[in-house]
Amino acid sequence: MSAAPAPEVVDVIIIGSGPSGLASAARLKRLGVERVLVIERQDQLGGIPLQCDHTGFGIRHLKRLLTGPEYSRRLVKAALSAGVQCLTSTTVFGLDPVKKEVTCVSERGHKTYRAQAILIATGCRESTRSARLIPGYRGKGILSTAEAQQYIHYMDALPGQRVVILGSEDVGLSAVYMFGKTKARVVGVIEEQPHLVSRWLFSLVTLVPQRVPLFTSHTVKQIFGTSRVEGIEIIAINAAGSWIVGTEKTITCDTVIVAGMFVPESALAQDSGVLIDDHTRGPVVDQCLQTEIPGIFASGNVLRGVETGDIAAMEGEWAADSIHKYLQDPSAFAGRRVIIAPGNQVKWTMPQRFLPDAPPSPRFLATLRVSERILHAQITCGRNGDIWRSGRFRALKPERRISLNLHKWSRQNLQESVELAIVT
Amino acid sequence: MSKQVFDALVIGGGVVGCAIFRQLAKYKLAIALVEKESDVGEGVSKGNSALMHTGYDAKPGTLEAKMVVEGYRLFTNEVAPALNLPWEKTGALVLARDEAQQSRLSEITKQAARNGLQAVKILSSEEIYAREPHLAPGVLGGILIEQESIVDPFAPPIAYAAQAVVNGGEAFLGTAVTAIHRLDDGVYEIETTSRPLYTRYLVNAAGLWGDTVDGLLGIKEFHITPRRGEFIVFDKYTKRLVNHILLQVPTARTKGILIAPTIFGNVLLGPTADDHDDPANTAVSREGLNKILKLGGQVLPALLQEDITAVYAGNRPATEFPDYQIKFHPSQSYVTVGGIRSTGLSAALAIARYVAEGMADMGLALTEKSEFKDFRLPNNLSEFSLRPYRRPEMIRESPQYGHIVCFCEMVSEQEIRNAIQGPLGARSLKSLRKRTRAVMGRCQGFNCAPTVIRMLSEMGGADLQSLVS
Repeated sequence: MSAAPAPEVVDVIIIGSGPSGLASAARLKRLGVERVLVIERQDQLGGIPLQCDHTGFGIRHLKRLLTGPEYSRRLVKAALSAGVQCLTSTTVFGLDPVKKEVTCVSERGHKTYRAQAILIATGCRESTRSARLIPGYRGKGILSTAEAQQYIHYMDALPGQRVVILGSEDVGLSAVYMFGKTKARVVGVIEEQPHLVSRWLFSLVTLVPQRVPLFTSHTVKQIFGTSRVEGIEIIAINAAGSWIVGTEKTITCDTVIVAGMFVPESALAQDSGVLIDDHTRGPVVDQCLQTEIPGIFASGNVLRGVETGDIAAMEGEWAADSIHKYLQDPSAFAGRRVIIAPGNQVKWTMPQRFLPDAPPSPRFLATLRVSERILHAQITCGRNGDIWRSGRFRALKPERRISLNLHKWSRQNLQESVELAIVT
Repeated sequence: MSKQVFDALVIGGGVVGCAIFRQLAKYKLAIALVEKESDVGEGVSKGNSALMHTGYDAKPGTLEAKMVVEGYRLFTNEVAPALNLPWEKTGALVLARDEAQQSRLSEITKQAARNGLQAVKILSSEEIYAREPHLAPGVLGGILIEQESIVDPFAPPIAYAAQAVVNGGEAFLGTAVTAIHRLDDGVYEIETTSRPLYTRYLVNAAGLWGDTVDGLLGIKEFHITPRRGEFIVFDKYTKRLVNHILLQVPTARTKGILIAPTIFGNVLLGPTADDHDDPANTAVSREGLNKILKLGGQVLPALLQEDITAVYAGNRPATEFPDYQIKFHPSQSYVTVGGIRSTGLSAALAIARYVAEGMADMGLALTEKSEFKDFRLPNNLSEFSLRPYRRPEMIRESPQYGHIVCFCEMVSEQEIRNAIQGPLGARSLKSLRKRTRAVMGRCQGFNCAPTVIRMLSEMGGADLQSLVS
């Protein structure tokens, strides 16, 4: 085999052209970084919002209410007009985090790019029926929300007529809304939690007009139908998640949408040796969004599963600010790194590292999630909350992001490792 | 108009039926294959443990032992290289966890020797852990069977049937047999869900429906009890934990849990063994999956932390007899190939020869064609070799090898094209998956299923709405 050609040199490589990648790229250009390259494996720039044909995008980030495709188009336009170089239909299959080289494949063959910094913004995906170990047959008609969105919006094809949706996160209810505009009927939303996960307003506008039956504290006992879904048997569960025998109900349907429970699309990061957090399943980052490898940054939903496109974009912009600092001074974030570990009842924290000598992140960025609903609770940092203690929350909910104010930490004399925990 | 009468017709397009179809295609015969599903390899051949067995543990002297040993040789030496079928010799380890099990190891090696296998040796505990450092503590020793191999389970039936078609065989897919009559001139009239077919010789390779097809001819020699096996496929990251096919010392009842690398770079765990009465029941159960997870965790504790990519279940056609049930009925010009249990994938090519020879004894004239045309499967999906996207020279030749469509499995547009074109080309997502692995990765189609379906519609001419719904 002939020797590989010399890599093409740019300043920053961004992998992924969703809201996070595009917003970061545009910001880097505005900050004066010359050569910013975005690599996208899909045939179009824009990421997941492209297929979310409903409103609710852009309020926080752009201060206007947009649909998913409108939001994506604005971000694409902003990046392109700022002079960002974008590749589509190009899949990264090698990332050397030390040499800062990225190797990708497209119809033009292989190509390697070298940069001073790399941003991983590869997004997330819904967890699958298999990963959730949902019992039953595996006939046609079991699919993710993302697939259903594409069939309906891109191809004008309907996956089925009677639809059951598993999961009441925003995405599950967006599926209710989407099917409501078609000839299909949503005949049930199944939620394992004892309550709806999505916000009440969104739940109201999606579920009520279609009078969709909602089954909270229920799980799937069995999916029927050898070659095509014919129905689903559900069963009530107790607080520990165990089946309550005798509560089974059968719903006739031809389609099951396995919605939400997003997981980071972190395969590339993991393959290249970037440290992955066992709790978030995304790369470990500090508050400046640098991973454990200098010059490799990560932002957006690859960090911890789904947040809105706005949050992903704003994280991308914050990552751009950090990358800009790093380009000027590669030792900018080389100082002491404090480990933030999830403690009692904390499912995960993001970031997982704190740099006492670097700028604290904006408030939206640092978050934690709890593993269950906790009433009248406080978040503590350090042993017995000796470093910092939050105000009292009326309720901490597992489905909500809980923001942390890292500004307060900067003034503290932090140890090598601190633990975030919940006390009641 | 005179009706077309085939010389031989095979009922059942599983790996065994397809191998027989291919074998008969070598001779100057008009032959056909009838399969009720829309693709070959959709029954027993689809949900198995994807191993190419050496036959080391088969009961010496049985037909199964003879067929598996010979089938392995034919597959690995001749047919797999010629047809471009992926397989990999990883070796298997049989693990002994207590003294009773350990005392049985020499018995297993002796049995292997009687089946003609030399590369089987007893290993110490240290040697086992050196090969598999992630195993749970407590392995006292074991056996290494160097030749045991993993294989792409989907490719063989497709390639065997395609080669038969290339050589003039006719495949009737999506065609179920509903009744069989023997006419006065000895010709069989096979009623199907489409038009009737006629043949002089008939082969029953109907797998889970083998006794049902026998019944259509008034024959009752065995009863099939579907034995369901549930499996879990772990993410490709899990590959770091497993180097060999990991087996247990078998008991009288079961072969125990198996953990194996797959040819596609994943790790497979299973199966359960659950006898039931519905051959179409391939549902996975909570009990079954939890059971194999528990057993798998006892062998390889780290497995329980790993991501799950897929779950599936398949049925083996168990009978009341321990051996294969291959029965020639000379007066009826009929042969039943029944009870081919979990070893069918390994034994298929030998069974095909054995059946063809038996048919010759029954009077079928086997005159070899002057030329048996080659067939090569266009896509080789083994992760143990370089996939097309890693080969710039292939992309230069056909640029669409560089356009990745399924990102988890790194399937290119050209591989999808290849799978749609040619004999037995894919016409549904189900059949495309088996030929390319598209949508079979960790996202299970979240990213690529719509793109792939669009391609199927554009390239294969299938209706978009019917592909989607």
